[in-house]
Amino acid sequence: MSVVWHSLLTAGVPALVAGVIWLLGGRIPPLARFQGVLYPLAFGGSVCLACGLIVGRPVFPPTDATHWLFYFALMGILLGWLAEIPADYRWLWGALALLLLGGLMVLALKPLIQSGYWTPVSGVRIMLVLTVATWLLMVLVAPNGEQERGAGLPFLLATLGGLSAGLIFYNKSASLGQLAGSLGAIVGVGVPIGWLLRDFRLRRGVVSVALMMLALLWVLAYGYAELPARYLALLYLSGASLALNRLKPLARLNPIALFALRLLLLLILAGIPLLLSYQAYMAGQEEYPYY
Amino acid sequence: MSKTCTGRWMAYLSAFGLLMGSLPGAYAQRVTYQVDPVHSFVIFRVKHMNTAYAYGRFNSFRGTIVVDERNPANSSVEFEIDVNSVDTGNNQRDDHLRGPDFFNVRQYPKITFRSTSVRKINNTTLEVKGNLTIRGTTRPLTARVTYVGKGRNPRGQEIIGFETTFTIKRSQFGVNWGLNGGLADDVRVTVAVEAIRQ
Repeated sequence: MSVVWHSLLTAGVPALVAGVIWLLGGRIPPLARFQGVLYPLAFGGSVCLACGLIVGRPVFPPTDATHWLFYFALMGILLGWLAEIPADYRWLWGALALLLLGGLMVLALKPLIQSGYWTPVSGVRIMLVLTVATWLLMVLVAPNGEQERGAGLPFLLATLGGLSAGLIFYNKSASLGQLAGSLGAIVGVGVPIGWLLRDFRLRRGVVSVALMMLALLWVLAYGYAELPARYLALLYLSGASLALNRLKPLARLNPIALFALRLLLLLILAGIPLLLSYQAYMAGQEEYPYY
Repeated sequence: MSKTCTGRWMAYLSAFGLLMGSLPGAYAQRVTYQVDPVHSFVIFRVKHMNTAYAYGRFNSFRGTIVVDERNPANSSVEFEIDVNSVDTGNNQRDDHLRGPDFFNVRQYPKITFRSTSVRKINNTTLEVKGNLTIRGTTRPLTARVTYVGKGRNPRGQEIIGFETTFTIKRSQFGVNWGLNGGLADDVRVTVAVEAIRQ
């Protein structure tokens, strides 16, 4: 099977699975009551499927830290369900998300201390910073999943996934890049659904977990591939820019202008590192097509 | 008087030791050799696009070989490869090989082999069984090792040479990238060593 076909398969099949469930959840009234359960389940399950198609059959515990993503997606389903709890108890979701993220970050990055790549002090410091940054990103953007209807938010998330895929790919990991692309495709299937169903919302559960999974992919690419720290910081900022529409001074803007502003920021913050990485790759003296 | 007595006893003991030592199998003659990385090679090849073979090598490794010529079962091998030293003649490909798609060098910087048994097949061939660890996964490996020769290097040190070629399935070690695309599962590895007596 060619690499192109394999990439289409690993992005297309999981996206199709998520899309069908979201569409059914949006169209069939009895199912609509269970969107809070169905939507995160469809998202997490599709990410697990993408992991299986790209990385292979999961083993527990994985010997390779980058293979934890399958289990992170499973955890993400639980966290997605919890994100749907009533507003009064949302602090509980926030606290659990912080604890869980801390644990996931240890699973993802501890091997770098064990192998001696990081010193224990610098490793713990990096894990702490990345846990807090990922938590802030989730908490900041999660409400958009509740408030934004239609194709806009899925399009922005899919763009972030696509830009992340290219950036990780050109920083020496085709498999993590492919996973980011699949993740972008899964949330991107919300674009046609958003056009079909005007009332379609990705919900808090999907948006928060999609950002968590994307951030974990960035973190793994930073730890195990060659994604530079400055690009990692820009990716976090680009993710946070999705919440700009909730800033009071900007909330008065025309929705189309607000969408265009967020897209522009996304393209600048994540697109410029991608362009620079591509240039660095092309400037290499030897051609290498990653297979 | 006592000094003369002690001296005589020492002479008797030395003679006895020499006599016993000359008997076949009277004592184990285990000789330790260190792999000389300058004159040793670890080469691998894998089929690309089901069309041609791509070759690569590791430039940094170390190993210890303990040889017991009288009782080969007492011999042993330990080998450690620095995966960062992978070299296929293309820097971009080498970076990709070091990354999480292949060796994940930041988590697993070493490939190791430790023998568990050595059996003599004939005068020039040994069967070495042991555990090969790649990317954190350990699998048993059996290799036919050819004894190439023995001699002295220009510094007067005793040297010994061995060579082995074996094939592993990279998927068994979790190195799965490209199996659907263009890189075969089978990787043929050749290890040719010259080792210096310690």
